Amino acid sequence: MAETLLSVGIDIGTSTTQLVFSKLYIENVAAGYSVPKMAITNKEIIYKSDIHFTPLKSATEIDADAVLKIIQAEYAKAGISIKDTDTGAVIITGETARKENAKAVLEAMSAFSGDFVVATAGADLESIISGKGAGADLFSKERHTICANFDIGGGTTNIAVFNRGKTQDTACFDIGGRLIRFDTQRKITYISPKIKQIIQSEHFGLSEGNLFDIKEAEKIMDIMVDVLCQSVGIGSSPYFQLLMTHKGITADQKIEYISFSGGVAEGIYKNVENPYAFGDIGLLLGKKIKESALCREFKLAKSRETIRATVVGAGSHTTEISGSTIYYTPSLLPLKSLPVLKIQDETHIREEFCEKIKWFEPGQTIAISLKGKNSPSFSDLSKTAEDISNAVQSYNGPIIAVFEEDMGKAMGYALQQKLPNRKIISIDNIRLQEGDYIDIGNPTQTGNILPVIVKTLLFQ
Amino acid sequence: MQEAELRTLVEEMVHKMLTSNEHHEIQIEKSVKSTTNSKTQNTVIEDGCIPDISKVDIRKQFLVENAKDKETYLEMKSKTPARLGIGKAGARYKTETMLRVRADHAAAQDSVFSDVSEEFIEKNGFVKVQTLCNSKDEYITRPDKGRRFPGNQLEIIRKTIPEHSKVAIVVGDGLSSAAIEANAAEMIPSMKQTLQAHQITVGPVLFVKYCRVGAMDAIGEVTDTDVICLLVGERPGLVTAESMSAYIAYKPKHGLPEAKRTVISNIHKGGTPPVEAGAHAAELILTMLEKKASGIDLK
Amino acid sequence: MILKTVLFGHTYQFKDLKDVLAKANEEKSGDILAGIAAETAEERVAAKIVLSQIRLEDLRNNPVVPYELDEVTRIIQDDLNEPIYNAIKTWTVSELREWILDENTTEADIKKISRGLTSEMVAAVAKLMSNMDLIYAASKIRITAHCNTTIGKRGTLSARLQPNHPTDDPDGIMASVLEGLSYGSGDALIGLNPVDDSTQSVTRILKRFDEIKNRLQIPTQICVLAHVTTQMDAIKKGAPTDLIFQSIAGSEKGNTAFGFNAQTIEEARQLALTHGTAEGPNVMYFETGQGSELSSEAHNGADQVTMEARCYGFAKHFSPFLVNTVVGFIGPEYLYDGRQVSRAGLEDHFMGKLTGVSMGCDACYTNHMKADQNSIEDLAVLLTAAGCNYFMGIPHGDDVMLNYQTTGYHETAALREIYGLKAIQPFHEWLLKHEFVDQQGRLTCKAGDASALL
Repeated sequence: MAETLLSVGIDIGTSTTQLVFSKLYIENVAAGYSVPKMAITNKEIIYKSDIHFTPLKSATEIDADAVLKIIQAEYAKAGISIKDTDTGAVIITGETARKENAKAVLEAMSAFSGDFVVATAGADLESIISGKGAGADLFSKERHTICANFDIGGGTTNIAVFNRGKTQDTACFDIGGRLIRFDTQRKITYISPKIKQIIQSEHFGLSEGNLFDIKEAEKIMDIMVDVLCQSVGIGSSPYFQLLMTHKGITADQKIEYISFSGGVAEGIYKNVENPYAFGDIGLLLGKKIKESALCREFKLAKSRETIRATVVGAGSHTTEISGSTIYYTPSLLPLKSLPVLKIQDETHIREEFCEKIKWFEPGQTIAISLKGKNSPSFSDLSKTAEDISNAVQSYNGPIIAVFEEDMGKAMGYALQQKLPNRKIISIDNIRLQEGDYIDIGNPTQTGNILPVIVKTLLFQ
Repeated sequence: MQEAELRTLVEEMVHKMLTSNEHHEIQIEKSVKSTTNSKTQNTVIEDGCIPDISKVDIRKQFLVENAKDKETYLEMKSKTPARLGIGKAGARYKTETMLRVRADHAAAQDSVFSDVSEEFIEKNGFVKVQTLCNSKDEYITRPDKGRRFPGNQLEIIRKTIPEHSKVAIVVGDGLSSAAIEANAAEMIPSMKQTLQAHQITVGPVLFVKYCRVGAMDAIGEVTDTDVICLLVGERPGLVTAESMSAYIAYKPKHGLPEAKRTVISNIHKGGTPPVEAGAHAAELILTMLEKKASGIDLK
Repeated sequence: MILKTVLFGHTYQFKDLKDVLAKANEEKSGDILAGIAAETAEERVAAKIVLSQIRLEDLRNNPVVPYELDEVTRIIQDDLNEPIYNAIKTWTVSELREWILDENTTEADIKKISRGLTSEMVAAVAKLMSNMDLIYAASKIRITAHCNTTIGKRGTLSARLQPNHPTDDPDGIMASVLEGLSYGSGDALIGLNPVDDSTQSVTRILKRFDEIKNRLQIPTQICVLAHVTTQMDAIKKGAPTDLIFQSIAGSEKGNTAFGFNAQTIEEARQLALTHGTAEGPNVMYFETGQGSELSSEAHNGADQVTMEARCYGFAKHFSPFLVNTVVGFIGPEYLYDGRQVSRAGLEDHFMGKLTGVSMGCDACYTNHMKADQNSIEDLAVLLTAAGCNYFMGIPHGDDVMLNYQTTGYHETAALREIYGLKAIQPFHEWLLKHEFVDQQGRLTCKAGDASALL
């Protein structure tokens, strides 16, 4: 009875590159003879790749071709062809997510792009994805509590706060395990710019080319830990603002549990024999966190995934599905990275559309997003269809209308009647914001629903 | 009528409940001061109106006193329409929830035992016919009679729906007149719009008074229509009295097994919106015309 | 056997015993729909008069569905204790009635005689009883049964917690379960009517019930009321259940319409005994209701009270833990209003007990019936006086899945208080431990707070 979607998640991080395949099960959850209401009811990871070091051309530049080879090899190993995947996300995270790196990777992966949906994460989405991959959302739901997950990777720490299963807040800090790296002789090969700034102002004895001094490194790691503590309301650090990527946690959240994921979490949950093994401060930082106030002031929740949290999240937690009664022209699909034109005032659709369409490049296909009405009357429906058809007179692309309320199918027919020569997609049950981009995948087996990925683009 | 009376009664009771303490104090105070022998005081009829209790969102209502964890309770409650978190007065219900259940039941009963208004039937241009039943009471107790028509009514049916039509839409009161008045006029144009997009036009709509689902078989029998879609009021629950179903069948005739009908239930503003259900039902009709089948034969 | 009488000078001649049984019934819309009811009030009484003089052996020899054609009849007849039957077979129905009511007739006497009665005899005597007769007679008899706990002891009143949900959402179901427990509901059973009758869904819910039962150490029984074959499939695949449920009818044809026969039920019982999670020995749960045979045209021309009695005869063969009559669910075509529902509830409860099964009642009504919450509260009060084993427990009496109203969590609690009754002992102790009730079994101020169990 259940339909399935095969989803791929690819995480290209500062330190590691990983891939997972997961199966999303879609079932009808409506009662008895009601109109079907499809929902994702189960997620099953069917393949986890090895954990590869992200191949770099230099300290800051990803070797995109080498990344592509890794991914191709993992597809082959899993026995899955590119055509088999229905949906998924490529996530470029941490320090790696610089514009030139991301562009190179996306270009290298263009071979994949015709067949599945490519997405990239912003810091907020990345926090949520890794938190969900770590299972902190489920933990908070099952225990009826608030849980903050710290995903501490090579370059950044992404924090997501979940309150009884719902995402409540996110934050990101430039704190990670590969911000200081050294070679097998423990000679320092790299220090990140922000960390250099702290070292200079504090006069710590650490610099590139010199030997790694554990006593000095502990001082800088103490600062990192202090910043993390302050992020959840314990103590304060003069470097809090400096290390904050773009925002901290806002309100007083009364966090009860914390969990950790990312490579550094290995050093928190496990006893490590050789903390220098990976040529960076990751495992040392993990040990510091384990001994810190963070682990004393909060109860520690066990993560379901540590180093794989982001990739599992990308594979399993990025796809939504449309409502189950929708209207679409199959030849338009799939659609990728459509910018969203959000109508805020639905009593003046034409005016707002004509004003905002100027923000986009001429000829760009856009998705028009409306909240719509809960159980509209037929005349409400006709009026909105009329307004939209008036609005799009000067816009030549296909009509992609996305509603929050359940009205997609009826609206599709209403639009078709007004605009008989235009290609139309009208879907519902999807909430979008100004500035979002969406991908719309091919229909599922029975053709009743479309997979959708909503994203906020990273490169701003 | 009945509904209005009950509403007035409910309002009065709520009002008494809310103001009784206050009145007591005033009365005691006055009676102490009073030098006359009269035990009663003149009551002032105040301006104002008791708020509509049916507008309270019971999904969010929480009346448990000193709950250990209210937030989690509300979270749990949000997962079910069941009337949870209602507290108690001794081992009985609080007045507010008791009155709400009575109000919801009153709405349900009224929707069963009242008729679809003539005005509604006229406004929508429906052609009215009646089954063998002569009263609501007969309708409720004699399901057999609600499935058949007297000869003169069959004549009207024949005149309204041309023989061998592709699609006919029929509206029946069923067990909820309120459901028909709330949804039919929204669903039918949406259904017609979708059928029109596939070059199918639908003739006049029949309205059947005292209608059981099987009445569509009698209509199919005399008109030999390919697909009949019957919109009928569902037996109301307390959550809503306005839920409508669509029963759709390919060439319905007497003796049609129930499994050969395709059913869409739960059509109302809190379930599947009628306009959306209309487009969905129309697509099902198109599939039936193409596959020449309905119900389990369609799967 | 005489089938004729004169009343007020008018002669009433009845066709056969089945005709007498039907016309002797109190008025029910279902018998009218079937075309077998008495035409006038006088004819009804005439039929009762004729019935009062019928001998028990005539009732045994004229089952309303023939022995050769019907396995329900065969089960009832073959299970009879012949020596006991032989001792009473010449009694008239009137004599049986007065013997049951007699102050010298004890509970043990009735239970013994019960083994010599067929369902037609049980139905016949109920037809000669007024409502208070039915209460008075039933209150003499207590039928206990043991699954994980023992239901039916004097001094107890139990409730089945019915946490139904329109889409079987497990979290929504658990919310209703926790709240019900906090009101003292659920000592008879935690039992869900599922929307989705699939093995997978039934298993998923049973596992949640089993988990909560074990985690909170609740002394009770669990069950999901899917079709018997679905439950059997779930058990074979490892689902934990204490009881197996099935709706039953009073004829083989009726049971066929429900999709099972006696062999299916026996296989289910053996499976529950060997692979279920209960102590036993009583591991079956049946539901019945007047009119269900007529609705599947399986009544064989017999009235709905007699067909209902035959359900209990069939049920008894499988030593059930619970049987309950879902008395007002079927609708006004069968039971017209609150008055007819009340009468049917009292008849069913008495007949079940006289047959020897552990009886509960889903005192309920649908919204197209002329009844309201007062009607079923009245019935519940009367049935508690009659010594009913259990009622349903639903949030505020409103079933959001089956769209009908029944007794709420508060009702059983209030009835316990009014009559000085408690939940089943180990469950009562569990409630005491959580401070939801006091020593007397009355709700405390902590009752009704589901979050106390988180």
